Amino acid sequence: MQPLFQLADTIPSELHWQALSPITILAVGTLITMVLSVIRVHTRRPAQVAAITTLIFALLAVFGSASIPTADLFRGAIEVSPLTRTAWSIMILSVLALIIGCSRYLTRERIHLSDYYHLVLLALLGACVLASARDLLVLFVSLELLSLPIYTLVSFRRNDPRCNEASIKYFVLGGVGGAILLFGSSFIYGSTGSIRFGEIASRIPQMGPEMSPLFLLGWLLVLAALLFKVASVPFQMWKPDVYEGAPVPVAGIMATLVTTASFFALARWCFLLPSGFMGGIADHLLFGSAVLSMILGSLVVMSQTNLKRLFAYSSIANTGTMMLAIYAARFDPSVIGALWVYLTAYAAANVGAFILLSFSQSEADQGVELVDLAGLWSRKPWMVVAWSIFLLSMAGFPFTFGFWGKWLVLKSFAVQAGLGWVLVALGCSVATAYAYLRPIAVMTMRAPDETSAQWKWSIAGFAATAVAALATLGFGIYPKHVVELLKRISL
Amino acid sequence: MAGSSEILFLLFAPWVLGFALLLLPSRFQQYFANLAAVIYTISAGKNIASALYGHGSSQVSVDAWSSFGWAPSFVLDGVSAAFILMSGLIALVAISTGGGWVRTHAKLFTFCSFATLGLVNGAFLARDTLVFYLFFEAVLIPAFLMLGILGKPGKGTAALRFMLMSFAGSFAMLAAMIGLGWATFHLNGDFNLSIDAVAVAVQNLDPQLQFLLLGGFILAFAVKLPLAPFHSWLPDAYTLAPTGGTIWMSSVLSKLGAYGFVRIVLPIFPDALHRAQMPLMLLSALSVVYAALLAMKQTDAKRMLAYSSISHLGFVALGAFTAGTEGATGALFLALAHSFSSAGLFAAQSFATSSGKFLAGRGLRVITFLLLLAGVALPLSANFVGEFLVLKAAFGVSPLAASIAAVGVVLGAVYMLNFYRTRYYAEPSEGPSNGTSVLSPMQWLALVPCFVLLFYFGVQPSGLLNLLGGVLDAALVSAR
Repeated sequence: MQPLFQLADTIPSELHWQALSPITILAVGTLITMVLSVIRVHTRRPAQVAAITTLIFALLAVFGSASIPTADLFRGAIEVSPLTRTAWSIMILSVLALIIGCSRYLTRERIHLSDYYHLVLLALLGACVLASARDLLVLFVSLELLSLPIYTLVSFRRNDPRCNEASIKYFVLGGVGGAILLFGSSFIYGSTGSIRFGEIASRIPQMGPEMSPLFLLGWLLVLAALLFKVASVPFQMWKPDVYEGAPVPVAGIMATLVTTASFFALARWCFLLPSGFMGGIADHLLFGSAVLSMILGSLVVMSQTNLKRLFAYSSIANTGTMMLAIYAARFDPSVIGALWVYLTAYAAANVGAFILLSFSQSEADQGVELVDLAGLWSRKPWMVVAWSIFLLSMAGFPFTFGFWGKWLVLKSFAVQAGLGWVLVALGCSVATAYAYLRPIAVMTMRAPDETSAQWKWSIAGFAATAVAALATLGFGIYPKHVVELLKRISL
Repeated sequence: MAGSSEILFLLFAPWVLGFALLLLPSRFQQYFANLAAVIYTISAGKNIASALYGHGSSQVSVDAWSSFGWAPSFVLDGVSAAFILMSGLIALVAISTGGGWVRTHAKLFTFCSFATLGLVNGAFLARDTLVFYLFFEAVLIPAFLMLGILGKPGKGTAALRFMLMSFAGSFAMLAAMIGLGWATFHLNGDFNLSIDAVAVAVQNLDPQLQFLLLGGFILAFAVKLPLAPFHSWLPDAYTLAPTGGTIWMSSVLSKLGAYGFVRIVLPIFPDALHRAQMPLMLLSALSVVYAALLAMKQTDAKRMLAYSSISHLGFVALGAFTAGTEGATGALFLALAHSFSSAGLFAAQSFATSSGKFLAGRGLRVITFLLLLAGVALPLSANFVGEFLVLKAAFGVSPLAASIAAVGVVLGAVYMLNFYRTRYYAEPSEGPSNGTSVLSPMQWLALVPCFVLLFYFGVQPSGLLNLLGGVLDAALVSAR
């Protein structure tokens, strides 16, 4: 059940640096950006250029190291494989698009601190390591490295009380999550004697009945910390408030970067425990959490009028669906490809949606509401087309990339859990379809009124949105190559 | 592969034309769109003729969607051809009706029209439940936009209700499709959603499960067709949409439901359908009568025609549920005939009211009456041929359902003739008459094809009946 945890052949040491080059480039780039933000205080431009350059080089390094086989580095603490490289590319591309697309937003909100860029890069660094972590302490450190800059980033609009409240909420709850992770790690170390995933996996079968409950408890505690990060029921309460309070690009980064990295870590963590361990209680909990997230997210999203809250609840529903894929893969590891496809589609649609959201001029006052979209069709029709593509992809409408993700997940889930639960999932889809169609209806069918916000776009934003839209629509119409690429990546 | 270029033409030409039209100025949209529709229909006819009479049928395998376990395909045969040509002519009718959109949103309307054309072509060519599903869902978006942007007040709610009810039905179908795929997975080791593979796999499922899966498909098509009690989205959607949009919805989109019943449900679920036949046929018959009764009470012309549409499509469903070649052929023939009769009637009533007062010159009155006779299924019209075949086949299976439906024919005559009497024979309303309501050439273009085709095929149905019957015979026999 865990082909992943067999130690791969060690690659020659001269390839180690090449394998780690994306992370190295990101680290060096982050330091350069940090220095630039200190010595050039009055303008954001040098730090912005440094950040974008770093991201581009890191992406090139990922593609350049594509031929290196799977390897465990640092004696099994970090894995570099097609899986991690896929994770890194998705994350780097999302962050690149959000930085380029939302730059106008920062100017408008008078966020002049160039700290923004190196904080984002630090979070990305943490996310990349999180996606490759195969060691409990590396997991913890990378999770914190991912989270701490984002706590700061959430609070960037310092004069908005909702923003400060969101930041405090996220910080306190995230801190508790980190502590719980360490607590669980201690139980796992106590029961297996190791913190490396490979060694833990090999020692589980030999564990006696007196150690198993301790191990399960530790596993569940670490799972809880990871579920908090992806906002799965019952740890989802923070998401709507934090999204609503955070600046739009930061909410976008949370939706794409944090979710992607956490899901890669979550998938790896769920594969660690054999199915049926101690009566399969873990499977039941995973299933329950997944289904409840999906149901809760879908039902509550229907009543949202604030767009960021809408995306938060939609993200909770999507998390539930993605966890269904993980649940299915616990019984049939070959279907984990469904999760990667869904995750990629979700990231592309959310990146686009948040860039579009940053074009709204109403943030300073009360956040982007549904009424702000009214009449957008008569003012900026191309924006409506882009919005529709992203919203329909999130709804799983045919000919968008999101449809193929949903199709693969439901297909694999049906084989494991039966058609009844598929009907539940599709019922939730109808609810979310309403929530996604309502903005489209408001955009195209309602006349603008004076209270609607203005929507101002930038060339960079247009370019980033266009790329995301082309990806969503293009892979929806022609999914073959991307889907085959992603399906080939086994854990 | 034989005939692949013809299929690719049918799939992509409408999109090419739609995008090309966006480049032209709004003032000329209607003319050029009509020209494009005519050129497209003639080329489609030529392509189809060469494919069918040259190769027999054509098939093209879709490589782009082949990473899910099997290679989906598009197949062109007689039935698909008939529906595709019908859609091309309906494009002509819909665009010619004109209306407010010509001044305000011409580009949107013509683009949505060609998008709908492209997408329904994909649906009619699909030989694979997944491909059919993709196009079946996707075709909702142009209709949603036409209704929602160009409609009358109240359109937002109508549009959302239309979309959500269609989604709910389609998701039921998606669930059933996943179930079918799972059945093929158990049989062959991998998902395969082509109709032949699925039909084989379904035989091995236990009857209860077959019923459930059948139910999923029936739900989707019952919302689309529509069949009472799933019709509640229709009256508002048809009434509030611009006439061109209504024609697209009544003549083309609803036929997706009919096509789905006959080409998808019948070959895949012959046994389950035989067992569920009685209740389904009764439901269709009741739908006919229910909608006819409601139509009698309507005062708004468009709303009346909307309910009459539901009523006639109930006949189509009745024929499809007989699960026999004769009934299915009659159902599809009636579906094609109904497309033209409802398109013509919607167009005609919009021309009569377009000046604000109800004025109809002699020409319009004559042609409306003729179309109305077709709508009532008077002999010599194609609707009669279809309804007769349907009732004949239905009587053989369930005399009760057939009798109830036959009552619907009488009721149909009642509301149609009443509509004509109150509108076209009434005293003209006060106010200065503008002296004439002579139809413009464009408006004649909307009405004449409908009228000609209905009466030609009413008198000479054998060619088309043989075409439809031949294909259905082969498909249904192989399903047993």
